[in-house]
Amino acid sequence: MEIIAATAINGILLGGLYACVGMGFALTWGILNVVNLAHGVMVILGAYVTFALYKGLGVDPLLTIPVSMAVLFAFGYGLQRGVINLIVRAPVFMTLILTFGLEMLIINALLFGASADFRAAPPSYAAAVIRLGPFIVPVLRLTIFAVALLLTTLLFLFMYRTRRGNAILATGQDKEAAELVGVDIARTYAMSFGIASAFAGAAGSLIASLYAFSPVLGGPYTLKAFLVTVVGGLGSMAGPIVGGLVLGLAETGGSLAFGETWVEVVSYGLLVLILIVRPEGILGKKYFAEVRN
Amino acid sequence: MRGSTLRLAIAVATLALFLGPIVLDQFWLRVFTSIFIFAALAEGWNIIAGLTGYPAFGNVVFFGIGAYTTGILMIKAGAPHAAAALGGGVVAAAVAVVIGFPILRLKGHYFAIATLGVNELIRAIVTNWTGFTGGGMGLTLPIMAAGVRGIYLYFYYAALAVLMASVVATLLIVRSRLGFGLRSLRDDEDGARVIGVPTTLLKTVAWATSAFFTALAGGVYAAWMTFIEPANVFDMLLAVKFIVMALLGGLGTVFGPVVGAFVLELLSELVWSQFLTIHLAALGLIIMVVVIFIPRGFAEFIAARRLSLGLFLENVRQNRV
Repeated sequence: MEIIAATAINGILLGGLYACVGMGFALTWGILNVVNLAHGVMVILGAYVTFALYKGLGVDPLLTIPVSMAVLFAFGYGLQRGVINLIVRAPVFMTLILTFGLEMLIINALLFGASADFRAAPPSYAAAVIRLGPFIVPVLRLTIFAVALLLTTLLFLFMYRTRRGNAILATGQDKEAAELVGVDIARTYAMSFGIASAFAGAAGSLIASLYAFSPVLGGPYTLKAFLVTVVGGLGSMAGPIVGGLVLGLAETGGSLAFGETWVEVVSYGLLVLILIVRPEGILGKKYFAEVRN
Repeated sequence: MRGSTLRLAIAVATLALFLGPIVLDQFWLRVFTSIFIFAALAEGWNIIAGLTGYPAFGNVVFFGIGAYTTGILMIKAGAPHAAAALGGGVVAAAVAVVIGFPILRLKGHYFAIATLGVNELIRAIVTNWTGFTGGGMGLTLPIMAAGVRGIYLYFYYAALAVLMASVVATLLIVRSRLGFGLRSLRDDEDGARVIGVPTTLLKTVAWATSAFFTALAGGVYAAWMTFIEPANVFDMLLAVKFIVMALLGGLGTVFGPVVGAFVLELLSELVWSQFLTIHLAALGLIIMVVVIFIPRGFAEFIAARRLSLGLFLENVRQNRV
């Protein structure tokens, strides 16, 4: 019983991190209708920003989040303006291929500039735990969960309480109508992509504090973002949170039930199952993307 | 190109490929075998993505299934290579039918991602099912007893045979009722259904055919390499490579994907295999250039009978915001 509760707590805490990984990915997909296969490697890019500050200046990894977000925002904004924007109206499949090419390019650049070595930026309190009743909770994981929730709340407020956020939401719902009321689509797209990239950067900082990372992990993190988005569904800010929690619980639960090596089978099985049974996801709304024939 | 010129060009090219080994040394036999395998993969993907309009992003799953079925049949059942590879094709086609019914209902991104999910799922299962597949340690296939030159020749002709079969199958499909049905559902699926085209059946048949040839190529590859592991036969990088070849030549045309494969694989073998550290970046860059500037491939230049900067810029104008 106790091990199940502990697994559930771990799964929920991990879910917060996954929600953060999936948030930007879902934003790009929902607003631009672009599935960004370079999302995972942008997460890794954020992890490198954190690692550089941690290694060079000895900054606590969680304090580097604003920096990695700013760097990735600029990167994403420019990328949208210069590259993604050129194919944003092409058939959906073309955007998949283009961003895959982009991923290869960034991975190669990282392998060149930072080598394939695994890096990590563990803070001083990486091993600390607190007791909550009968349960032992790692401080770092709890902090990461709190930071992920805080960032999600900030994004929520931005989207619903500011004009610029409203413009982004409107563009996602109906591009032509938004254009008619005076929204600059190209700028809104670049803004959305920039914010999505900033979230990738934040997720990267969190990952750097908890796990070892290397350029080749870009692909696996993209797949996690897929799962979070598909399971949670597009069209609501709560989607990635639900998706993240489900993935976190599925991974820790699957590991407990079948063993560590079967975690991938469980999570990809879940992805395929959801796509067959309920492709719009748990919270997905119909109008966000055409799902079925 | 006019019909008669095209036919003559194809006849000459086919004859040259059949007689090629008379003058080719081992290096070139290897390069061409690799080109044939990629061309067959691009042509197989073209059947579902080009003719049917369903971009099965994770089609490499059938390559892996073909490679593993071939390996397991040769090792556990002692089957000869040709029979084992055919068995792989049949297994892959059956898998395509089973997953096709639920997955081919999905549209756009969702379909592409579902095929990606299936590839990752099957890769993960093969990696874990150590007793049957060798798991993450991979599978070593028997080496053919035919001498070095004999082995090179066998795989050259085996790969060429798979390529020819995939081209002939594509030609037959394009000219048959099936081809008309596929084209109608590609251009307007609801409309096709309304006039009585059995869309679900046709899509599934197309995907099974695509899977069959993809798996045959996998079967040749597995025995040629004599070693396979999940990470390299279920590799999305491989999928993206043959997808870009098909795009480069012209998706939906009969010969385009083959031409794309010859161009890209020759370039890859001769030019940037010299620069291993930037291999990935070079391929990534080519992918981006193809998608942005020539999404309809060489076929577009032939159709427009010109090759100008204006054509590239027109493509960009169409797709940007």
